[in-house]
Amino acid sequence: MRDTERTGTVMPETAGDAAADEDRAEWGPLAALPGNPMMWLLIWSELAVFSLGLIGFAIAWILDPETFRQSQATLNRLAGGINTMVLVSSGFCAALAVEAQSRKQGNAARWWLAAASLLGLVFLVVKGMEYADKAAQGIGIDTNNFYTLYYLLTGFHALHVVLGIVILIIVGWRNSLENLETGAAFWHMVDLIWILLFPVVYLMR
Amino acid sequence: MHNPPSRKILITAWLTLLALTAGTMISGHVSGGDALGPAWIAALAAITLFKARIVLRDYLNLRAASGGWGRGFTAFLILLLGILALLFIIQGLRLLPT
Repeated sequence: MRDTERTGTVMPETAGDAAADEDRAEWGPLAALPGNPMMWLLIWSELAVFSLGLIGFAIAWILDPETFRQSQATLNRLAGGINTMVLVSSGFCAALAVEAQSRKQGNAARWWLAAASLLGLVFLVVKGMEYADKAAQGIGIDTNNFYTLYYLLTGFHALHVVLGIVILIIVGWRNSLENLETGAAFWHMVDLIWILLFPVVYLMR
Repeated sequence: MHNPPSRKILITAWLTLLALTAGTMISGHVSGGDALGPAWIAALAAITLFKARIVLRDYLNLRAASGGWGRGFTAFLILLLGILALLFIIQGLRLLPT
């Protein structure tokens, strides 16, 4: 069995890679994670923030069930489901970009990153259509507590999608394997948060 | 550097995520307005847990990470989704005065 298959790690090929691996060792347990350890601190903190937001949403629902039930019924659940499929497909493209870069296929990696970014834009367009539909009905962030939490949670997530697209573009330009792993990790975190957010905000009732 | 998952693993993960998303939409009665019972809420939480684990294990490549990171994330997700499902089941059964 090759070392890479046994340990799940790729042996450093250059002095620079070896130095990077030495730097990683200073991160302690975080060094065992793929990509830049700093990104994993961000992933944990973002998960914590959105988790508290979702728990707050569920508690607010208990305090005012009728308002929340009626308001949730106005959401476009099908659009939310389609957007979930769009985002997991985008994550698939980002993961394929890392896989291509690990085989030194930089151009293929860039194409996969472009596909991931494009699907991210599709997600934003669908979300924008949802917001526009609500605005046309006179519904805004201050309509009631449900919509306040809905706009805060989904809007904050959409901002992460925008930032994620920018990060994917940057790591497509400076496309070392570690950069790609790190950028893709941010994108998968955005994906993971939506996977948690969609059933709670759109479906549970 | 970590060895990323193979294409075959990623394609399987992607197709499974699409199928589970369809399962989420069915369990959440996307086209219906009626309240979900405890069983559907539990199903939604369970499917969401599976989806999140696939993203962590295959997309985020936690399968290559040592030191119990995968188990740590899974424990966190079980706790979070358990709390959320419990809160929605409590409100659905009207166990608390409002």
